[in-house]
Amino acid sequence: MTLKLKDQFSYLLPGYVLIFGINGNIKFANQQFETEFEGINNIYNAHDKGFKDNLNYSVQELINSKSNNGNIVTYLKHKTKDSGIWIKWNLKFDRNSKSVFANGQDFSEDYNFQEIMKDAQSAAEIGIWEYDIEKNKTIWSEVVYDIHEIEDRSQFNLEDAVDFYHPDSKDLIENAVQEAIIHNKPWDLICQLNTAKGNTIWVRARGRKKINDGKTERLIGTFQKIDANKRLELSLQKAEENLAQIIKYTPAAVAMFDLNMCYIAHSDRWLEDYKLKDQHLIGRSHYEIFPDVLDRWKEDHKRVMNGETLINREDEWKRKDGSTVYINWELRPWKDSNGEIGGLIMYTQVITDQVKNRKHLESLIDELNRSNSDLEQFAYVASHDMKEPVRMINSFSDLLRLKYADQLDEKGKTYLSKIKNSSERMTKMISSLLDYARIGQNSERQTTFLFSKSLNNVLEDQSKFLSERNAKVSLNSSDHEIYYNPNFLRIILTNLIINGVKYNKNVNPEISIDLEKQENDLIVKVRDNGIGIEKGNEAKVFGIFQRLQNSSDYAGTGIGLALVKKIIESGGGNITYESDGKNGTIFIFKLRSVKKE
Amino acid sequence: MRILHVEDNPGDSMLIKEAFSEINNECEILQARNGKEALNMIQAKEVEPNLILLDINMPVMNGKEFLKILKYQDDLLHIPVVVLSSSRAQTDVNECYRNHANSYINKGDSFDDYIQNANAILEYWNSKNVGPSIH
Repeated sequence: MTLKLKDQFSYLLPGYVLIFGINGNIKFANQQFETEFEGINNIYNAHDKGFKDNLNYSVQELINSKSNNGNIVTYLKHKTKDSGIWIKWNLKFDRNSKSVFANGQDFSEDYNFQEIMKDAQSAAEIGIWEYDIEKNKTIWSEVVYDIHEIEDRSQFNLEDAVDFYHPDSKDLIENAVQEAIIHNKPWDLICQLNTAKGNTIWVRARGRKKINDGKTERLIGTFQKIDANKRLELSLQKAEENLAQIIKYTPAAVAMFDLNMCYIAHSDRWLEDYKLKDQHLIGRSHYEIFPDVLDRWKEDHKRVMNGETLINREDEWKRKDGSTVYINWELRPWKDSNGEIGGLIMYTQVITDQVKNRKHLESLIDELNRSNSDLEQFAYVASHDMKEPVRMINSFSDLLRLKYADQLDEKGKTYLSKIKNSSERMTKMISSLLDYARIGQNSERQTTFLFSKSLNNVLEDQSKFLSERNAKVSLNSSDHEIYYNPNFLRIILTNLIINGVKYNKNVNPEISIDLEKQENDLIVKVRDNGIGIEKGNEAKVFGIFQRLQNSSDYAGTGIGLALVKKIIESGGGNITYESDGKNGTIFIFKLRSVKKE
Repeated sequence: MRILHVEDNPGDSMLIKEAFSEINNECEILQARNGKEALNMIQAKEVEPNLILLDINMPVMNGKEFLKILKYQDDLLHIPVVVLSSSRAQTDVNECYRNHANSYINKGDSFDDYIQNANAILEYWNSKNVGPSIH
C-alpha cells in the first residue's frame, strides 16, 4: 500500500519531499529528490556530508523538542556534481505518526541568490571565500580569483593560495589562520600580495571560524583589493609609525596622545623620567597612569585639543606621595592627514633639581641680604646711640677744661687732654660708621653732573687741610659727565684725597686724577706720591677698622677705604689699587653710570 | 629773655644752661623733660617763654608730637620753636618743618659746638623777636 502510494503520488508532490522516522532514518523520498540526489542511500554516503549532517541535526532537534507540532525552517546548500544549490527546507513534526515531514524548495533558482551575491561582490570588489578545515578544501568567489589576476581557474590549485602573499605578509596570515582555528580569533589584516601577473597590490583580508553544526569547522572570510586612497592611508600610517620610532628615541620626555588622552607613542626617556620602566603605556589613558594629574592640567589638555599651544617653563606639581616635582612643559596639538586635530604631543623636562638648587640659592641670598641689612640696621642704631654718651664725654671734658683747668696740675691737664683726644676720635669713628651703615639704607637720588664739579666741592671743603700741607690736587684728563649720587662721589674723593695727602712724607703732596669713559661707565684713577701700600696688605686695605699705620703716626678712623669700597660696589662698580709699597699708590675704580628706567 | 629747653637728657640740659650762661647772663633757661611737661607748663600760663628749644627723641611725648599740638593752638602757635636734635636724617628735618618748627639745628659734638649753637639761637631771636605767623 505504501509503495503504491509512493508510485502514484510521489511525482506529483512539489519540490523535494522527505519523511523521517522517529529514529531519524528516511522513510520516504519523492521522485524529484531521488532524481536530484541519485537515490536515498546516496545521502548517507554522499559527497555532501555537510548537507546530510545539517538536515539530520534539524530533524533530531525537532523530534527532541517537547512541542506537539514543531516546525523548523532552514536554508541548506547542497552540492551537486556540477555545482551547488540552495534549498529552503520546511520541517514539520507530527507526533501522532511519529514522523518528520520535510519539504524542500530550490531557493537559489527562485531568488537568483548566487547571481545577486556575485554582483554585489564584484561591485564592492569584495570577494568571499570558504575553507573547510576537515577536508582541507577551499572555495573562492569570482572576485577573489579576479583580485589574484588568475585567468585559467581550472589549472589553479587553491592550496597554493598562500604563496601569493608577499613574504612580509605570509607569516602574518598563517599566524592569523592558526589563531582562528585554535582560539576562534577573527582576523582583519592589510597585506601585500603578488598577483599571478606579477603585480604587487594591497588587500584587506578578513576571516573567522564558523561552526555550522557543532562538528564541522570552516573558515569564512572576505577579500578586498585596496585602492590608492587606502594605500595613502597606509603610507600615512607608516609615517606615523616612523614618527613613533623617532619619538621613542628622542632624548627628552615626549609623549603623543589621542583625543582621549590615551598614549599613542612615547620616548624611552618618558619612562625613565617618570619611573615607569616596566609599564606598557600605549593605548592606556594618561590619567590612569598618573591619577594625580592636576585638574588645571586637564583643562590645559582640553584647550590644546581645541588648537592652542601651551608652554610653561616652570610648573609645580605636588604629587600624591607628598613629593614636589618641577616641570618645564609644552603641549602642542597634532593633526592627522585630513588636517583634523588627532590629539596632543606633550614635551616635559623634569627640572626639580635645578629649581630646588635655585630656590636654595635664593633663600641663601635672601638670608644674606637679611643679615646684611640687619647688620647695617644694628650698626646704624648702635652708632647712633653711642653718639650720645660720647658727645657728653667730649663736651663735659671741654667744660671741665674751660672752668676748672686752673685748678688742675700738669698731670691732671694731661689726663684731661687724653680724655678729650679719645672722645674726639671716638666721635669721628662713630660718624664714619654711621655713614658706612647709611649707604645701604639711604636711597639718595642720582643726578647727572660734571665730575669736576664734585671734585671742586671736595677741594673747597678741604681747602684748609690741603693748604696746611702744601698739597696739590689736579685733574689731568678731560672732564666727563656722570650719572651718580653726588654725595657718594664726594665721600669717595674726600677719603682718597685725604688719605693720599695724610699718608705722605713729601713736602709737597700731589694727587693727580685721570678719567676714562667706558661706554656708560667712568674709570677713575687717583694717583698719589705718598708712602704706598706694602705687599701682603691687599686683604686689609678695604677692611673696616683696618689700619696699616700706627695711630700715633697717622690719625684716622680705619673706615675710610671700607666706606669707599662699599659705596662703589653698591653702585655696581669696583675698586683696586696699584702700589710698589714705596712710591705712592694708584686707586683705580669704576663708577657705574647707568640710568635706570 | 626766657627760653624753655625741652630735653630728657640731663647732660644736654646742663650743657645748654652752661653754654647760655657763658655768653649771656640775662637768659632765663626753663627746663622740661618731655613735650607733655612743657605743654603743661605753657598751658598753666605760669610762664610764657620767648623761645622753645626742642629735642625730638623723648619719652612720654616726643618733639614732633609736641609740635603737632603747640602749632595748632591759636593762642600758642606764635611761640617760636627751634628744634635741637642729634638726628641728621632728612625725614626728621622735613617732618619738623612740616609741623611748623621755626628752625632746625643739630646738637654739637663738643662744648664749643654748644656755645656756637647758643650764639646762633640768640642771633635768631634778635633778628626775629616776634614769632612768625603761620597764617
